[in-house]
Amino acid sequence: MSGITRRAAVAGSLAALLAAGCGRAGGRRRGRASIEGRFVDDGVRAGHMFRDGRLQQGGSPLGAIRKRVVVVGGGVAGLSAAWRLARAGVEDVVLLELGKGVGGTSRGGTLRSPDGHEHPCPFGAHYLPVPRPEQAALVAFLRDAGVATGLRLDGSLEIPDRLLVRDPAERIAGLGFFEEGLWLHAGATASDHADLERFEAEVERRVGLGADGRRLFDLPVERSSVDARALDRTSAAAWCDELGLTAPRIRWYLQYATRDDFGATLEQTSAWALLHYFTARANLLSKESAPFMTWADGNAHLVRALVRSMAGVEIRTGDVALSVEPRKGGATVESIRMERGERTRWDADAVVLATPQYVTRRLLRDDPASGDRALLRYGPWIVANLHLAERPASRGFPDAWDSVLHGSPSLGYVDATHQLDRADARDTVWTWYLPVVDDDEAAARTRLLETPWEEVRDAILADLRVAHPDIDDLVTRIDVWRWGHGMVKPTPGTMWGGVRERVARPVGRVHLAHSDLSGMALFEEAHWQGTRAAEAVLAQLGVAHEPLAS
Amino acid sequence: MRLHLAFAVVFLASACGLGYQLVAGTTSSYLLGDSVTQFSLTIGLYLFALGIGSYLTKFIDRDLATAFVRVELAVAVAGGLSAVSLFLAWRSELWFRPLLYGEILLIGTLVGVEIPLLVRLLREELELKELIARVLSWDYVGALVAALMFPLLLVPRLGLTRSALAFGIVNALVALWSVSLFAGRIRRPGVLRAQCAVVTVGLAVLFGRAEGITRLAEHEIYAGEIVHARTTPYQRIVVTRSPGSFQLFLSGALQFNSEDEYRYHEALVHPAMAIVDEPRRVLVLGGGDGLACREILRHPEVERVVLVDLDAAVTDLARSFQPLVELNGDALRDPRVEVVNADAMAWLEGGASLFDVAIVDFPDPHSFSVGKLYTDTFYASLLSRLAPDGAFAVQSTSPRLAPNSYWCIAATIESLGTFVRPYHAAVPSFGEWGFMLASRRSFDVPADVPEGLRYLSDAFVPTLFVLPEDAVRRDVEVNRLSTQTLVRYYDDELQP
Repeated sequence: MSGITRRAAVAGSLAALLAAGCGRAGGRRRGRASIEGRFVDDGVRAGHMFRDGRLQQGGSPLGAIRKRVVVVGGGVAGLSAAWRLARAGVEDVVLLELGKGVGGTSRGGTLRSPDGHEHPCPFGAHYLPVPRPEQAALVAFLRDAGVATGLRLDGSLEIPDRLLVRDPAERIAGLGFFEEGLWLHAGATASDHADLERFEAEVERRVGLGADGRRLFDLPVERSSVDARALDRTSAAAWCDELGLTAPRIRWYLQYATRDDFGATLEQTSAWALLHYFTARANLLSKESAPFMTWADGNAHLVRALVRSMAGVEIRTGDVALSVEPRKGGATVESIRMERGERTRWDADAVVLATPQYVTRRLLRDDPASGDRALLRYGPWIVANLHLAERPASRGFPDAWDSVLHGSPSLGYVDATHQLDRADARDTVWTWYLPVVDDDEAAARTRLLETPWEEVRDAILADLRVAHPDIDDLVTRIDVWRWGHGMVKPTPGTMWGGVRERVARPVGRVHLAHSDLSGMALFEEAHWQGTRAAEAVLAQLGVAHEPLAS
Repeated sequence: MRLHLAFAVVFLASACGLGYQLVAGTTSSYLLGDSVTQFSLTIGLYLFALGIGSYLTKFIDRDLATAFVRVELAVAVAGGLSAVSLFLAWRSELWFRPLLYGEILLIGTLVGVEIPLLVRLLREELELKELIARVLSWDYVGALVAALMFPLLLVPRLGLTRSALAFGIVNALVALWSVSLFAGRIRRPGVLRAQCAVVTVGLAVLFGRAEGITRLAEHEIYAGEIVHARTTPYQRIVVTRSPGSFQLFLSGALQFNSEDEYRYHEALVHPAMAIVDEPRRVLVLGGGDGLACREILRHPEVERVVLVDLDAAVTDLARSFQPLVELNGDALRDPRVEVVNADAMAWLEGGASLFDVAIVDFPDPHSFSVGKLYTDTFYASLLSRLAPDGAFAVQSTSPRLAPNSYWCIAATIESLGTFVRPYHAAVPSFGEWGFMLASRRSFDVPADVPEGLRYLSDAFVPTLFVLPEDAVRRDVEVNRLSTQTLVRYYDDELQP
């Protein structure tokens, strides 16, 4: 296993995992051949046609439609912008999404298992930490959506217990034997434990306020104090080196965190971002981190709530924006309906451009920040939904929500039925996550698209077999999502080096909204960016509103 | 003289052969229950395998004596280890039966080789009619002696595992003896003697340590004889019998002992029935054994009982296992009783009908999946299915052995704004056992139970609500889905 780890760090996780899959498959298992499945990703073809300029030429003549606001992009940022506009009473809004479904990487759905059971499961992001009262936009949305049932006396959100991750939340396996939690005790030396304590002391020291009275690390990141920002100049790896946190055990643990939250290695992550992950959700007094909310189909539950809450917004899926052109008093958007080839020109008073920056720089005409947008790096992800006829046996600590395999390039898997009260259902869906942390993201994306499904299947099974030797005989189906640009990477300098500030600036009446403007692919950031952009539109249009994202 | 020795070999080999058959039949009946089926299957398979063995001897043309010794040794190993391996494999639903039947077939086939080979080895010594008559008569005498010794001497003195090992040692010694007997016809007697010695010593060592090995096997936790055993997707069901009573175990935990279960079930059911004016609709969650239903049906005003138990195997047992049917008065076939096999939490939320009384009788919170059924979220669902004046009782582990767990259940129910009265009863098989009585409205200590109960009387019921000093209230946290504090308390208190 340590062989894979080292290779994962050096040569990239996809290569390592595929090598593991091929090396260990051996063809002696009889279960694998009967496993169904395919790539199920959405919007890849449309996105690539747009990238290659193939959509820009064709299409039937333009029809022109006037709209108050056009939102381009149906991820969480775009949906949140539409939610904020609808909440302020703005009607006549259209949202354009190139894929078949909205929600971006927060999508999820219901998959039918071969034996006929319907299983809700996530296709990407799958939990949200309970926000603090100061996160006004998110708090307002969760109350609108009925997720929060009220406010407690101390101002914190009241969340029904069944929405919180059920205990046991996490377990980690070393050599196939599970323990509770994410820090593997088996084989850890006294010095390893001392490393963890030292790191935790560093973290605790930073759960507090800066001289400017702001939290050192806050959500949204924009509100963070200026005091800790210098940490952004070093990589998390270099910061760990300075502290002497160099032993493999602590490095794996910390890199698990950066891979999990950012899809990046410690070298690719800013030290500021690493500390943000461990501190931003902690209570200033108790130093305890906020509990997580989750649903069987992950954050798709929140996406549905967003969609429900925007009465009056027309959502057009399969509609690819081709260009966004700011003009005096508004902006013009051109789009094409993929299935029919019809082109539409949207004349809007304002546009919320809620696309990732690698798309934005191809859409936006006269873009002053085009060069800056190209600096952002995005890591590819593989997310696989595995249907299991029954839960496999495992040794050690019993089934949990999240099962992590120590030493693996994957993040492990989440059990979709953990949050359901179904002791009588024995089959389940596991969602397995692999952030591809290669330094050359473009090459990794190419490789990801070229790898046949069978190889991905074998790699996944090889990864899980360490902890579940009978996995091949229990998996009936593997549906694989390839997220070419799964997450933006908070590389050193990205957070406070000026890039984010420049790419987030509105261009005339075109306002930008996306989690990558925050440097971190978090639901909280996507929602805040969407709300912020929408409120800038509201201000420009002169619509009275109480700011939630100031 | 030589011939007499040869017939002694026949006698011993045959005695051992029957011995393994008895070991397999007894072990499987002991572990799986249903001895008629187990013995029929064992005998049938074994005889069939003897035939296979006999047939296979036609392919043995050379070195008959060596082949015989080797077969004897193989029988010694396979037969000697049969009981030990079965006890060790018993926990595995997947492997136990294949191992059992595989072993029967293997031993039978090997034993089936013995007699035809011996007949051929001895055919130059005697005329055929004389030979067949003598060999087969010694064969059957051997069987008789083994059949008599097995129940009278071997099992009572040695136990099953050591009886099998003893047969194995005899087989190995027979092999050693045969080397001398057929010395002239064996090419390398030294090697064979050494092999015989290794097997004999190996089995003898195991014989000395058999007790330690068997202790590894789960069956040791059961004091009584196992009369029914089944592994379901959810748990392992075992019924044991001891003189005058029987016991039900789920996943190794005692659910009731027929000797004193009335104390438990009277205490579980009647206080809740007493504080509701007219309990017409009653819900039982868990309690698939039907014993709580029996107590509920004592109340003439009851019109409908819904029993929700996850495991159909338990409710089936309560309807078809005769001793249990007699004990629960065939309650599950009563027209007023409806049996549902479903997850209790999902079932509560899937319906809307209301109940006057609910009896909550889940296993102790030993795992996270059972712990969910003791959370505030679960009790909120339960309250939503309870009439405004309704009441419910919850089995709540032992207030003496697991006080934190006991008071955690109390605190969790109270956290919903419900009135709770903790109480307890002495159930010898369990020790001091605890319950909660709860209702949305405040209520007095009940003092009115049906007549003719064996444990409770109007005068005695109020005393259940006085807790002894060693069970005083603890300051504990509420059990939630997100924390599962109860499972953690219980784990600390009751698991070694």
